[in-house]
Amino acid sequence: MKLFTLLLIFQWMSLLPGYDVLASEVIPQTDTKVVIRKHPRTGEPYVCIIPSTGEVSRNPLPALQGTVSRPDYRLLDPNVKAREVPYQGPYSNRKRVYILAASLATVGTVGGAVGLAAAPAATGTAASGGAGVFAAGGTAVVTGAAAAVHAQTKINPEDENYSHTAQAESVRLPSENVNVQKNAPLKEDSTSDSVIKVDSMEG
Amino acid sequence: MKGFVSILLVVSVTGCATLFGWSIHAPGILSEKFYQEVQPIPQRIALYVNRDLLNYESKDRGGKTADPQTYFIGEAFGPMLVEAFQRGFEEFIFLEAEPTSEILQQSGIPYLAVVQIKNFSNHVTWKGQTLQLVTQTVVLDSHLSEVDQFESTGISDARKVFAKKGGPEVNLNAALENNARAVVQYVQDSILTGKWKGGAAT
Repeated sequence: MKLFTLLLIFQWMSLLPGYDVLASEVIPQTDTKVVIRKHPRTGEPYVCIIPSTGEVSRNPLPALQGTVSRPDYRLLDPNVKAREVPYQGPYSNRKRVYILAASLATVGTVGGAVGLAAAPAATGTAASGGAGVFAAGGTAVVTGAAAAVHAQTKINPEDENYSHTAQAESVRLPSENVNVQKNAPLKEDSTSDSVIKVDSMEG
Repeated sequence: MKGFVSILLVVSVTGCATLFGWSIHAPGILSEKFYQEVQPIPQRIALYVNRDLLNYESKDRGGKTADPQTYFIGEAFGPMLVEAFQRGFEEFIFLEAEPTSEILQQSGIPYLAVVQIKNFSNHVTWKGQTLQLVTQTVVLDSHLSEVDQFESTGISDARKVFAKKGGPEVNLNAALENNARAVVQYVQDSILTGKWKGGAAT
């Protein structure tokens, strides 16, 4: 009788909200929760998996001050005047920079500006240091032999007076490529090569 | 004459350079052109980016005589990557939690793309400016085994960029967009051609 009562209590407890005893037997529970976020620029919703201990309200994607419209790349054409292509978005106002630099210089704290000028010519700097790439699966990014064929297409070569390039190529190690081919052989003749390169050249 | 040249040199290298400067924030949004060129495919996929990517900045001024420039790359590239994946895949999940195989299996995510910035370069001439962003992407399956790894390059090369309001910002945006497009199209291509193991669309 006691055993029956205990079993009954156990089963009743499993029905309580948040008591996931049975669920964990099928799929291991993770300390995460699913939230819907709005894209900071477009407002389009998307699904996020965040740590359950994390702060839901804080979107890691930075928001932008002011109104932003989709850019029109005709602005990059030197033959097109700026007023012909409406631009709504952030822009660097050099006058403001001058004023800031001047004011800093006036109060004797121009060191920041000097440091900026003296920065090495080719430095890409992550502002916050960290552990580097996510490598939980032992998959740190390494540069292997590129095995690829370039495919090029030109988009409106007569209309565009600027050059855009988008290119991707596999950098898997040769041994890894062999494994992939064993499992999923690639077609020889298709555009399924490892490289996609899209060029739109100036006319 | 020597004195004039030396004064000119000093002013150009130190004086003016400290006063001139650009803080370049791209709009961080894809163009209509992207939506015309990239069509969504029926696939569930997750994206994970390190916080370093979102904070990535470059002070590459592009030339010895060019004004100091600061490019706020991560703040624009992060949202653009998310938007590009939203457009490219019908079921897109952005992983803010550090990925584990349990999370991927629980959510039925067959592929996870981990993107990181490898290099950003700026080349300024009298005529114009060329910006280039290189990223590396590792694609993992639901067991966190590596499926593929590829490098993407986005370049925008334009003239008279600094003469227009918004010119440097749009040029940066174009370079970032081209990179995001290369990433998404490579993944789409790999899935549609069955290049990866179990590459069937969900």
